[in-house]
Amino acid sequence: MGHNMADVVRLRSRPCVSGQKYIERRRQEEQDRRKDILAAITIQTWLRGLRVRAYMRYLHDAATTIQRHWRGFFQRKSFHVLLRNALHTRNMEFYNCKAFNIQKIWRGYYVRKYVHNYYARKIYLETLMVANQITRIQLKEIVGSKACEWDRRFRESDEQRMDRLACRTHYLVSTRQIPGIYNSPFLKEPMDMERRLIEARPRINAERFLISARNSTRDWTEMSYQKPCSIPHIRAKKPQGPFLEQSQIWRHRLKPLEPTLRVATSFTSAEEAALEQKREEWRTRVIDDAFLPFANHRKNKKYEPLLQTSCAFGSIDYGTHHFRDTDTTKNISKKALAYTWKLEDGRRSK
Amino acid sequence: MTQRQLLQVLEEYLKGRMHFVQTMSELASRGQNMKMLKNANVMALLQPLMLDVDPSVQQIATQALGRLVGHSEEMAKELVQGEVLPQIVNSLPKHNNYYKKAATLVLRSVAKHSATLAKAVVDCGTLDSLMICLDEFDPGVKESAIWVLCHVARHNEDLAQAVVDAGAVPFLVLSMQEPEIALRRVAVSALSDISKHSMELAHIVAETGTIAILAQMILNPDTKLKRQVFSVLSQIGKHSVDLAELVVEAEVFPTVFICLQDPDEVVRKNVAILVCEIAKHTSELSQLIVNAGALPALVDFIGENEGSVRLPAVMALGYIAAHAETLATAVIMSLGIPQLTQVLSNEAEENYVRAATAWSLGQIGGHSSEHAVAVAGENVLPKLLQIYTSPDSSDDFQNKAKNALKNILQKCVHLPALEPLLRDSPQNILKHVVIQYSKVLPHDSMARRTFVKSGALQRIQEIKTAPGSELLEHINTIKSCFPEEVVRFYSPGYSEVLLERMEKFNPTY
Repeated sequence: MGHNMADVVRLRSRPCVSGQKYIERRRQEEQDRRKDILAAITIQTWLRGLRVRAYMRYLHDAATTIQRHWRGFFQRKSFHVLLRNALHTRNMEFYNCKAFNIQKIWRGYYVRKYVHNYYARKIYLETLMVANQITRIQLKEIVGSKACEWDRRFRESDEQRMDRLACRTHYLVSTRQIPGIYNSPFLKEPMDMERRLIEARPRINAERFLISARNSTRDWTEMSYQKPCSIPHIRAKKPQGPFLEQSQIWRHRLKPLEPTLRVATSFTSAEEAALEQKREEWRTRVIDDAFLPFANHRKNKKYEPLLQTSCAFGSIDYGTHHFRDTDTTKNISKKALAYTWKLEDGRRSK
Repeated sequence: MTQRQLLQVLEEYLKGRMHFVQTMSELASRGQNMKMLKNANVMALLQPLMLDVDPSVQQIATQALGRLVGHSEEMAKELVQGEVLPQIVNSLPKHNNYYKKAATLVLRSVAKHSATLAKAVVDCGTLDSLMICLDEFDPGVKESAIWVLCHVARHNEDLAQAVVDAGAVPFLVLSMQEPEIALRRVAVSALSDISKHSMELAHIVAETGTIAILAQMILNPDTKLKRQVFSVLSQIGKHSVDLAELVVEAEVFPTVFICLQDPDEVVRKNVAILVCEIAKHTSELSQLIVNAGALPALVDFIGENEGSVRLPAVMALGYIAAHAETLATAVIMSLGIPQLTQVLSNEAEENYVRAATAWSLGQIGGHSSEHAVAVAGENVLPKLLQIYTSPDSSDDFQNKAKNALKNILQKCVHLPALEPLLRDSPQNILKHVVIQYSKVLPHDSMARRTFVKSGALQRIQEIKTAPGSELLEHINTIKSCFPEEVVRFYSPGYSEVLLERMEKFNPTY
């Protein structure tokens, strides 16, 4: 407590200020000091807490506000992207549906028209049967007419052959004395060959050549037929304007489909090919039993002992016990070679 | 000795020589005398007479030699070794037509025996002299010359190439158009012998515009010419697709079927060979042939003929059916299958015809289940099985029957047709029959009923299988289509099991 002059003057001027009360008051103050300090601390802590909490609340609110604003801004920005993607997906799904539809219709059309055309095949088989009938009838007619001719020619050739034979064997004709072989007494009348023999006349050389010349039938039938060259069209009026040519237009319209390899292969072609290969393999396989691997080969292997151990005469020492030749017949001296070496205790071993 | 006596002696000598060669010539034309003539060493006597002063002796001696050599190969070898051929060849251009004919007769007789002899003939430089002969006017000379070429080119490709290199083909084409029939025949036969060896030779023959000329000769009335014409066409068409297309483009096809009913057997066979060789290549060609009406012609042909004549027609049907499924249906609809089964069962001697029929049936039935049903309907499968299992069919026949069976079995789902196969097929075929059953039975109740009724269920359970094999699995699949009591009822030995149970059963009063 700072004492200044004013206080001192004031205190001195006051009547009956006893020093006693002042001392008591001071004593009381001293006694209450602790309580007052604690009270003050309590008040201060509570106040500090209040202040800090208010500050924290303020900070939280500030942060929340910032975050709120930021989130809104950011999501609104990415919402555009999200919206674009969603739109894209929806569009693609729509287009895919339409594409599936087109592909479905195209595949059905292509297969039904180019790969397996049921109605065309049906019509083809029916027309083929009709054509076969017609062919059969035509063949019969032609062959029938030819058959008469063939028959006639065969019979004629037969006749000619018999006549020629009669010419060559004219001496077989029967005479009054000796009946010929074709004039058997047991028959009522002589055979046909007899008649030919009687009618056979000798051929003159010139005639022979003539006959042979006539027989080599000259074929004038196959003269080559010349096709007349085609006459060009008569053009009455030249068509107006620089139009495309008719032929070009029609060619373009009637252009046949030339599918690429990708289109033309069916998409089960790999599986079909595999199946076909399997079937082909089964069909052409000559031996049907499976070739079993030698599974028990090692198990069933019989143990074959070494020749050395299984041999009745046992093994020789050479190669196991000693490696030096023991045959002394070729040695200069008759004794076997002896080796000695010095042992530790000065002795020599043999 | 006066002049007159000398002339007389010479005349007698000439007469003697003439008499000798004439008798030799006549004797040599008959085959029975060959041995006698060989033993009498007539060849050595005739050879010097070929170089005789008098031309008629020369000709007749050459002719006699030609006939002799034509009958036996050893004499031909002797002639070649005697080195007479070069002299003949060299003197060919100089002498008259009769000599040329006789000399070409000798050459032809030597060349026809074997390839080495033909090569010897060619090595003497025959081909050039022959070209000179071909230039002559006389058709007889041309014919003999072409005949030599024919015999030379027949043996192998090199000789045919040598003939072509000598420039023979244009001459042959020109000779084909001559009026004389014998010349045409032999020219066509020479072309046939050239073109049969390889694709290049066939190309050379086809390039010169022959096919169009041949196509016009098809309806010629002469039989031997027709034989050769069809033979050439089939030799040309057999090598490659382009050549076959060339033959087809000449518009032979509907006309050719008329000749399938020709009275001569060889002509018919050659036509059938032509159809077979062309149908073999691609499905477009087969389709072309079918569109031209081949199927009724071939089917009727098979029905009316016997033996090895039918073989090419049967193979043609097989090739046609093999190419495309539509064509196989067409074959079925043209009633091909009854004819083929008739061949299979009735053909007594020729096993290779039956083997070809088995192959064709396999090709027809292998396309889809409808085809397999159509083929199996005529009781074909048991016949094929019988052929496969019988020990006296040849290996080739067995293989073909097995392939055909497998082909048809892969696709056949018609159970009444498969049933006879359950009885006595070997394991590998049985497995597939069972597989087919296991495909159909789970879905078809009528089939199951007939299966049980016909006793097939019992038979299936009697099959001995190794445990764990595929066959057992399939049998189990089939068994699982039926209720257990039914399976047990039809299991083998069930009656014994029942009897045992009955014996053990004590009736309780």
